[in-house]
Amino acid sequence: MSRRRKVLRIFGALFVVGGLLLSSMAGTVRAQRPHDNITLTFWIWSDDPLNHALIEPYFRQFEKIHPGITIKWVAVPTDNNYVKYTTAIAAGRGPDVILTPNFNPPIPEWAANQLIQPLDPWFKQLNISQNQWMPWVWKMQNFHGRVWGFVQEYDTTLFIWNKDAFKKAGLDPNRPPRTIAELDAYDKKLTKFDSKGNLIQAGIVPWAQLGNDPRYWAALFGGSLYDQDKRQYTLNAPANVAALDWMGKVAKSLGGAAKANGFLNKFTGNADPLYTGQVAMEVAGDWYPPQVYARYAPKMNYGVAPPPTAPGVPYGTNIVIGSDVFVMPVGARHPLESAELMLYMMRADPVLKWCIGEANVPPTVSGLFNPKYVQGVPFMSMAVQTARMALKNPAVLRPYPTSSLFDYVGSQYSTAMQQVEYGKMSAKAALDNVQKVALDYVAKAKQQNPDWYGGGD
Amino acid sequence: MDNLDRAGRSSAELAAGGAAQAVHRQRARWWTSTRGIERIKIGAVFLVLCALSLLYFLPIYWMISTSLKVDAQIFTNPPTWIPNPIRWSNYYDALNDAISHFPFLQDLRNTLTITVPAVTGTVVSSSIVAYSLARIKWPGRDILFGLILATMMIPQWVTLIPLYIFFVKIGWVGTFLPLTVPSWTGDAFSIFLLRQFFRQQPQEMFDAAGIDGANHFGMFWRIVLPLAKPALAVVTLFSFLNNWTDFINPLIYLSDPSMYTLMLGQYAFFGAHHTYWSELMAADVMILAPLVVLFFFTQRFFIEGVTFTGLRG
Amino acid sequence: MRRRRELLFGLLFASPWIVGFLVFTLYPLSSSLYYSFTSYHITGTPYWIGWSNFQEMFTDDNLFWVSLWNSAVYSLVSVPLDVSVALLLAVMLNMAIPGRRIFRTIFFLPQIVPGVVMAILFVLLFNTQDGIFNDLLSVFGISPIPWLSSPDWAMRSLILMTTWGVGNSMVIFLAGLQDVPAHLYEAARLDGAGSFRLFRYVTVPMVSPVILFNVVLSIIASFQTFVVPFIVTNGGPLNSTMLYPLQVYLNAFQNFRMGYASAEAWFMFLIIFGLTLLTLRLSRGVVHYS
Repeated sequence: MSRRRKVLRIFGALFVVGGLLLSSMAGTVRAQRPHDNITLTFWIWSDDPLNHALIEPYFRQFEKIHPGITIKWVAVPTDNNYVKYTTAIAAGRGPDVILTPNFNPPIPEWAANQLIQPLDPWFKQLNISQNQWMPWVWKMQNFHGRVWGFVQEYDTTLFIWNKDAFKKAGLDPNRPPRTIAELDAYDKKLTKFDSKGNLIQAGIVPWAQLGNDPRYWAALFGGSLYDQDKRQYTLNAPANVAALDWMGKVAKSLGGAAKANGFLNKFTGNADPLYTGQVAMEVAGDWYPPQVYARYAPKMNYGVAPPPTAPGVPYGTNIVIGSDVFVMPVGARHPLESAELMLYMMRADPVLKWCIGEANVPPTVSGLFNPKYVQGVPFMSMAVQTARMALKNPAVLRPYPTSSLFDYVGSQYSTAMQQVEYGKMSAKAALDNVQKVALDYVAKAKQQNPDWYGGGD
Repeated sequence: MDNLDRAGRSSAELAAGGAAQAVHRQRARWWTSTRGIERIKIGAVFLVLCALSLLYFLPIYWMISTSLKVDAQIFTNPPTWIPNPIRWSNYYDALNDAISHFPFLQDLRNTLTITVPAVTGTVVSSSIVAYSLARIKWPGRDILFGLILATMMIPQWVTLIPLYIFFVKIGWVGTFLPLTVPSWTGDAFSIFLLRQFFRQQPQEMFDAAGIDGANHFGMFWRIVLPLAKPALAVVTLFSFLNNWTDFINPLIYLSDPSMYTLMLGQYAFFGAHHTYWSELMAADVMILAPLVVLFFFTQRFFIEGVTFTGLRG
Repeated sequence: MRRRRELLFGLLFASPWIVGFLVFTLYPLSSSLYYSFTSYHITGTPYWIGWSNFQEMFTDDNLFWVSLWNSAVYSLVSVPLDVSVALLLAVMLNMAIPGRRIFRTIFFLPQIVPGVVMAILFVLLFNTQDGIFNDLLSVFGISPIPWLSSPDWAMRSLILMTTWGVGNSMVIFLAGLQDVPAHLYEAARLDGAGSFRLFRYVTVPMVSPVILFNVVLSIIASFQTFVVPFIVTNGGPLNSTMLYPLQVYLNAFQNFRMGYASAEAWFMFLIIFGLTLLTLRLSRGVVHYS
């Protein structure tokens, strides 16, 4: 046979085989279920094996229940990650599901700027109900008339004290202060200066660590920065002024904010002034005991309790200081399957596994009141107690503000706090000023984006 | 420019005259004490450098010592300067998924895949463009130079999104191309640097070559480039550094972890609510060690061993 | 004819950059210029608002003037400081010092250290009560300075911190010093010049193009850096270290006001461009080229 004919024969054979294969595949394609060969891309900020262990088993379960779906885990570095998310989503190259490590930013900003899509269309289809979540969590997910994501966990604060420092100062190491008045009294006993007037130990520096969150002390004095229902800022409410006044007083008793800040290791995060012995009491997040104290100060003898409150404010009042949220970016290729996955992760099992493993608070009814939770993280029983109180009295645990301008307003408030701490302004003047700045800023935003800011931020 | 010519000529005359006198002076004793003064000067400078280098070495020292510490010693007050015990296993842990998945070799391969073409492109294209700005007289040259300078003055944050969208449209997002190809069109910083160096080169050499009939290609290849070895070495070094430690661009253009670079990979040690500092520092030491080695051994290209053959002989 | 030939060669050699500009730079630059006259929230469509952004910047934004002033002070002080330190280090490291290769590496190392680590280090050094600097000062009987916790000192500390970053300029000076003809030094020495006069009348004029280069680059860089100071002082205390480029970043990627951020960026461009032109013009009588 000539070479040419041989080649033609081979090609012919290939054509036939290829055609057969293709047609057989077409047949199988038609025969498969609707979820065929979908890859859901999942972006998370962490590649921590701990987080993998807390989430991936449920991903694999989901894949088993929905054959044809594969979930791809992509860890996005935390630095500048909002740049990454924004550029990708804006160009239509975002993932299907994102788990963010914080609530605000970015959730309200993303909602206001159409980077994530509301989940309401799938509520009926997937039988989702508001009652799955605690009311304050629901208020974080549901704003401006739509549901923007599912909170996976939320964090509250813990009041931590160094038991050895209490003993040395003649205080009962097992009894923390429960009111602001008691806190002041304890502070007097625990704050020590040397002969030159420099701090050796501070009782508490109210604006250290998480105390620097503008909402924290305001809440303990019964105030709040943002009215969720009216969608308005209430920065200069009398309770907020009272809280800031108190902070200014404490700053003075420490010798001034410059001295106190110079005394502290100002680097936040894992360099913590409690375990370095610089302060005796501090405001910490619920993740501190396992992630910070256990790692960096395993021998420290410390106590955990709810924070002290002002008169008239129930003991057990706390704030939601942050949360992780599942969201679906605009442009997700498989929104139904993404919504299914997000809902799947809201079941008691995955929620409890994460919240016990990370010592966070479950956002769902099925998770928070499940006895396994308190068994798994005993010191978080106070979070459960706070939750029960908050069901009857919403002021006990306020949701994180859903204002998309809160990042800017919050930083202005922090500046006001500093002005009072440094003795440059009175609390009332500083907060009146910030309220004005915030209102101006909201008005500006309204001008440029009336659709979103029309009914208030 | 005239000043320098005049300075050069008068110094040459002085040198010729002074040489004769130097021979005469060698016999006198103050020549020896000059050497003594030299020694004292060098000694003083040495001490100053020692003191300053303690400060400059501190960051690296902190990295290395933290990479060898147990967690409890990292944030003590006062700081623990010498780890005790020394935990060499942090390095092992960082590489072997004990804490988090940090595929060092894979990320290294990716980083090299980007850095080598990018550096080559920068050096080649920037020197070509710099030659045009420094050694060819053409109308509009200074305007172009101004334009190149101007592009350095806009922060990247506001051009990031349009550029990203452009790369999406041509299908380059998700590949290494946005990280390597633009380097082949010249980098403003390198162009500026090389232009300054090229302009510093003595005019006499170019005049001589011009008389000999060399065209621009010849002058570029045979005169400008060899004389500019220190500057080219500097450009290579900086370009290598910038590409190796670039974070933002790999962050937005790469979404597949198997393509991540070393700078992205180190984020494996930023956990959910905390940072694995000792393993992170171990990873950083490994990521940055090649840069230190590179600098140490390429010093001589831009510092020593370069003789200025131009005007002598 | 010759002119035309030079023009062609000029364009030919410059073509890599021109092509790159047309393909990769022109569109993003003109987009961002356009955005500065719009209200643009990254995902929506930008709509034209004319000069409103600039109006708001100048009249309605309290942080604008604060950060602009801070950046101006920061640049005007840190640029001459850093260039001088870099030059002095380069001159010293160009001498026949034993171990100079190690010294040069050490002074260059902070360039490659991640910003997060530098931030930790600066806190260790500048901490008021236990910081290394204050410990040293107390040896001389000087009372502790509130480096980072006082609004007055924070900016000064920030400027000091940037001297850790002179490694790049130092390397460029080292390369430039190689091109200083040795015979000029010999001639001047034979004339009886001491070290200072050598430095002032031989070294400085001969590396003046490089000095100009480093000055221009430092000006540009000083208006673009904000990461390390942001981590160390977070713009505080009391906004004393709030720098202008930080504003651009926050407005772009946290407040999602890309139009406004673009306006701020282009205003910053005008300032840097003006400063650079001024520097180049002032340098005409001072810088020597071959």
